[in-house]
Amino acid sequence: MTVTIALAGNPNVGKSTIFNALTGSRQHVGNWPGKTVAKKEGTLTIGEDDILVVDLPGTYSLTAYSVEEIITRDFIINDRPTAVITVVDASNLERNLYLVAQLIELEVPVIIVLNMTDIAESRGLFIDADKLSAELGGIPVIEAVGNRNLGLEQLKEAIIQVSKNPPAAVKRPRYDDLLQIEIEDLGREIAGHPSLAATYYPNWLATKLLEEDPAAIELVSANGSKGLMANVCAAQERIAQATGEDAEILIADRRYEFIGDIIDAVQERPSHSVVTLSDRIDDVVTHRFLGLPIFLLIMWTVFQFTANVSAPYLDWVGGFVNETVSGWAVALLTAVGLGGTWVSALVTDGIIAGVGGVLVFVPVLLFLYMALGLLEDSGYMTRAAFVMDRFMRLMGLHGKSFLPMIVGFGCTVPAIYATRSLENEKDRKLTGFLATFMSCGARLPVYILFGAAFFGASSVNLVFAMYLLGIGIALAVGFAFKHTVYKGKQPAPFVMEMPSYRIPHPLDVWRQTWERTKGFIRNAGTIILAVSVIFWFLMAIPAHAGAGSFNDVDPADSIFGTVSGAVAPVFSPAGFGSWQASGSLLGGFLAKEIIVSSMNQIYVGSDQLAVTSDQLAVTSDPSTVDFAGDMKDALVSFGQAGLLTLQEMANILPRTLNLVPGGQLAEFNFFGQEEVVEDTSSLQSALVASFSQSAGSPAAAPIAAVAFTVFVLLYVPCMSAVSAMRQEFGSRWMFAQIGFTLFLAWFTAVLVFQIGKLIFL
Amino acid sequence: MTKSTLSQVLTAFEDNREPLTMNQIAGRLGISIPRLEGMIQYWVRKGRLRENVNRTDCGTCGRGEGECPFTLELPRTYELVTEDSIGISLMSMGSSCGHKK
Repeated sequence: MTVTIALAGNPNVGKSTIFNALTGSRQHVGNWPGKTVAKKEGTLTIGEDDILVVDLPGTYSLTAYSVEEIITRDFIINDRPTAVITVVDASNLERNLYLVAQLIELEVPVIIVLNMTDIAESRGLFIDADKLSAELGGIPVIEAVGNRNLGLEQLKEAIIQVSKNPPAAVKRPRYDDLLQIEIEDLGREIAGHPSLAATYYPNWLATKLLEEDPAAIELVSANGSKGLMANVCAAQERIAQATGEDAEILIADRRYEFIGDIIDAVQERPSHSVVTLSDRIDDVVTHRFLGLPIFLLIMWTVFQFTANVSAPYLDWVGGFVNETVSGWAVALLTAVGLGGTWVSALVTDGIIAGVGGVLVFVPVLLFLYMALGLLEDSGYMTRAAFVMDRFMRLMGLHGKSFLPMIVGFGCTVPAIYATRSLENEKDRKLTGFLATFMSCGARLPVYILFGAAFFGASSVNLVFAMYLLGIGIALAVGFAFKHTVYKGKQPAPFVMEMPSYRIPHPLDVWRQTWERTKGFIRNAGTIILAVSVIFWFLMAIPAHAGAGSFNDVDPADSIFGTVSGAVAPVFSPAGFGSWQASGSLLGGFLAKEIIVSSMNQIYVGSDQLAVTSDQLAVTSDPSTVDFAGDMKDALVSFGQAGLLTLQEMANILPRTLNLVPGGQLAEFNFFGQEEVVEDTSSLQSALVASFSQSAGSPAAAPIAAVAFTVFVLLYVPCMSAVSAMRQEFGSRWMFAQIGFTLFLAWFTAVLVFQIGKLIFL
Repeated sequence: MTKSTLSQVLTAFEDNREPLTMNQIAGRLGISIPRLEGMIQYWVRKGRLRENVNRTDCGTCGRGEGECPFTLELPRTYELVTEDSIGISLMSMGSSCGHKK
């Protein structure tokens, strides 16, 4: 005897695993007639019986909205399989039973395979399979773990049992009296139409007609049953009058009730699932009024972690690159006869100063990405997007628009591409525009450098202020756009799944941290290296006769200095109208990291040349360079930096608590280090001197420094981001963005400097 | 007349003016999260709600789904489908019997 069994179920419940386990290699793959959906059939032999197994497409229900649903339904109705094996995910039983309820309505024998029971148990969900069978009127329920071949023998027994002796008293969804009466009346009328009753179960077809199922309506219309359709409409009208709702909704609702009653009877949930710890935390973290301050506090802590905790390693890298590596380079170049030549100057003042000036900030970015990674992996970032939705909607933007903006804290390029997740074209353009105000990782070195140079221990406040300002500017610009250029209705708020909080997984966090930081390091070895070399040459070539000779020219009189000097007056109202500042900003058009690398070249490079010239007597002789000793010193100081980092981590708490007015908690000082007010680098002292001059006085220098960082925050994003904008939104939008951000940056920087002078001087 | 729970789910979206979590809606309606998910999926199939699966890559650099280090993996969100979002009025789609739904 050949028996045909259909295999149905929701997508991703392990249906294919069960199919493969039953049929092994005896499978055939084709297409469903007239469709592009794959059809898989296989055979198995149980005793003397040959079983044909047909794998139906994964579906969530049996409506007529998708081709998969139509295929599944038509096969069961037209081919009349002996039974339908429904594979359900035991860890998600309630959702899966909707399809089961509809299959039962089709009046076809059903076998339920309760798959993934191991996953269900690991989540504290226990299902009484026997009770489930009883609740459904005797339908066989087989517990299985498909990928371990558990339950297969019982399934085969059930197939034989059902094919010979299907359960008679299967329980089906029971509708309210009025609905049930209407279904049965229509069912009787359908039974009187031989062309319909021959193929379709009358009550099932009646239910489908009341549900306005398009395929069912077309079928009845094609059979010329106008009287039946009129009765269906009349029944719908009566139901709507009596209940105030459409029959379709009531039928679906009763199915869910039927399923809910079964679940209550057969499924045991974990006792703590009613209100979880995650729920309690969310009550606070997503609170209407507390949510935003909590978000700001967490972000402030992130920047504490980034700016202060990374500082010992920043100093270590700076010392290693600018002293140890630079010394080795000079010694090696001298050894090959290039000491004191322009090649040596290119290496030390161009490449090491430029690239090294950026690599110094690798620890900063590492710590930033680590902090963000911890927040993401813990599940908090979901809550941040949720909290920020209220503010996004003030701008007429969807809360989902905050997600690309969060991405922009790492890099603007993927933030622009991430706008593809937004359906509305206007929302996409505006979100991409605003994402450029989210301070990307490449700008962070500028804030850190200026913070340390002008504000010492309070440098983190400058960093935090820049990030806040970026968010604030984005909100303000978005608000303005949405009430002018992009007028429109406020979008509907969303409903979001909130996964439970979890302890961040160290390896996952580290992997993501490293992947993000790698990009920064890669840039240092490519574009920054190239630009450093180019900038060195431009600073080594005199711009006019009499200015000097190659590699023997005052940088101000070089090609670089002359071009930068021509642009500098534009920035005078903002307090940084020097060729050095404008020159470094020019490089920032290519990549924001170049601002710091070019500053290192501009301000420090020539000094280093003087230093290394003095040191030539010592370093020019390679035999005096103690590579092993230098490495040992570097390792020791690396360890010391690690200890200082731990101290800085501990100091996050007192610094945070000291934000409260009146707070005066002492910071930890485990190693008895004296607080030194120092110039930690020659670059910082050179910046202070230069900005004091351009701002008009040393007192105005910090204000000009803030104006400079504001300009860096707001002006045109890097070349890659601009290119992404052109690709996503077109050239017109790209040029509009360039123009707008340049003007906004200049205007805001001037405002900051001029108002700052009025207030503080 | 008390509305059906399925209708109350849709009403929760229509009447709401700020973002909600699934937990909040389930709590308000007194139903389990899995039942709420099923009911939301019903309305998604009906075209009254939209499900957004947030992308984890921009598809431009060849990295696979979930491999981009800069994008965030965020859970699904659902939102009401409005006239503005689809350009046609759903309410103008009448039933086969001629009465408006």
